Amino acid sequence: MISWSTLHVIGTELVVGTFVLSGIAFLMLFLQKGIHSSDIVAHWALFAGLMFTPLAIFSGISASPNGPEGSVMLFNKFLLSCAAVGLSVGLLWNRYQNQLIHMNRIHALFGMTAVCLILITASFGGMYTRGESLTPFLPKDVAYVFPVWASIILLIMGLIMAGKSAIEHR
Amino acid sequence: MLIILTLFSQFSIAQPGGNGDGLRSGQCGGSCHADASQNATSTAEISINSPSSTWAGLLTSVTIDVSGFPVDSESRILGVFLLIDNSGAQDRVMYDGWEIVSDPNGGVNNYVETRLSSSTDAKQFTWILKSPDEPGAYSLMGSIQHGGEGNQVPFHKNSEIIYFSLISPPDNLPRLSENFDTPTTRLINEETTITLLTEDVTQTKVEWRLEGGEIQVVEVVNGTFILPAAINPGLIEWRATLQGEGPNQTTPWFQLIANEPTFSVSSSSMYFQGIALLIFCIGIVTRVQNLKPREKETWIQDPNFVIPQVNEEKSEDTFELRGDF
Repeated sequence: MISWSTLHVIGTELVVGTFVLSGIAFLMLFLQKGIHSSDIVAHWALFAGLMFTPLAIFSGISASPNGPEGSVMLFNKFLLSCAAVGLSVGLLWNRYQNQLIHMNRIHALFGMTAVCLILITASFGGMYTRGESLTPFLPKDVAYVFPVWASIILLIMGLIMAGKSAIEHR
Repeated sequence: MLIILTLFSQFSIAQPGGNGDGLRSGQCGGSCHADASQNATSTAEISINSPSSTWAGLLTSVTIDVSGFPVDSESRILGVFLLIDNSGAQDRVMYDGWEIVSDPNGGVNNYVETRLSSSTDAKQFTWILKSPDEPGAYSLMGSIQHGGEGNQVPFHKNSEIIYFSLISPPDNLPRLSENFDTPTTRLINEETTITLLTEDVTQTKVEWRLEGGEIQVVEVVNGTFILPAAINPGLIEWRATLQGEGPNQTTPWFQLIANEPTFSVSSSSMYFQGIALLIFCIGIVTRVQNLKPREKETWIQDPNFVIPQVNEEKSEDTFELRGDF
């Protein structure tokens, strides 16, 4: 038997570990150092982190007594995780489509942003469970709840941009 | 960034963020705070107060007063235990048959934490307890723990143990029914209607007061009364004087904590926003990376740009020249 909270700890350790490894490799890509090996490490570690992220998200939701719907911090954690997953999927898709994309520094910057979002998410978790965090300066009582129409606009914009990119690539 | 944040953090051997309220034995908190090898005695004063005798099986209140809270506590989080003695284990009040009706934070825990403001060095903590059914002699004790400045050791202190006796109540004693549940929390700007469930009661008088304020009497109709709404988060206390054939009985001051509405969002809205954000991030990454590099466009739009001449002839292959340029 294993509780959801223990499973969440295991999941987050896997996610944070793989994402940090990926972040270091993306930093090396940004600095254009050890490009070949950094490219492999950055994307495979990102892929591994992406695989474990749903486990971390859903075990976290199950472990919290009232769910993220009842806590500003958990709500923000959920949104940050979704944003990080979106960036990671986009990065891996670009890498799959373009074998030389890692030469682009913007690609590396996006990679570091995704890692940064995951680390902020993890720091919120520390603040939620232990009241301690490496980022005490970040606001933790502000949540941006979009109305449905704003979410629909965001979704349509995302689909248009992704679709246009796919068409241009062909 | 991560390295910088780690380097600039202050490390502590305790848990500066606290542990949260809970049902804990003294040893649970003491494993850090009371271990002789890694703790210090707090300079704060702690005392526990309770009626010297009370009715067995009925409600009573116990108050722990803390004063002289040290100014060098960085987080200013104060943890307070209500225990039966200082044995360290199996010392939660329920081991003697006490039932916690409400704790100082509106829960039902024997360990509570609070963050004192920088201008406050004293605070009172009140528990409402249902006493054990068996008459006899019982004991209670308070204990506090808190942190210090920077990476100082954690601090700990016990109050004196108080002893008092529980007496069998007379059969006709006016009392609150066992089925009566005391509300402990409410939202601000909302009146609270309470219906008392009583036994052997012919007349009821209810009083309320703000923390440290004057006592007000509220009208009771058929055992029901209304407490006024709170404008700000805070505490209101009320008590009932019950009259009947037996001796008059006054309940302890029940605490009602008013909180601001908690954050709430519908699940579907939250998941939809998350998915929308996810798709948007995918779109923005794929879109931005499909844009052509700026360097290739800027020189073309530059009106002062002149294509370099090679051997006095214009080059036909501008793309090669772009690279050289």
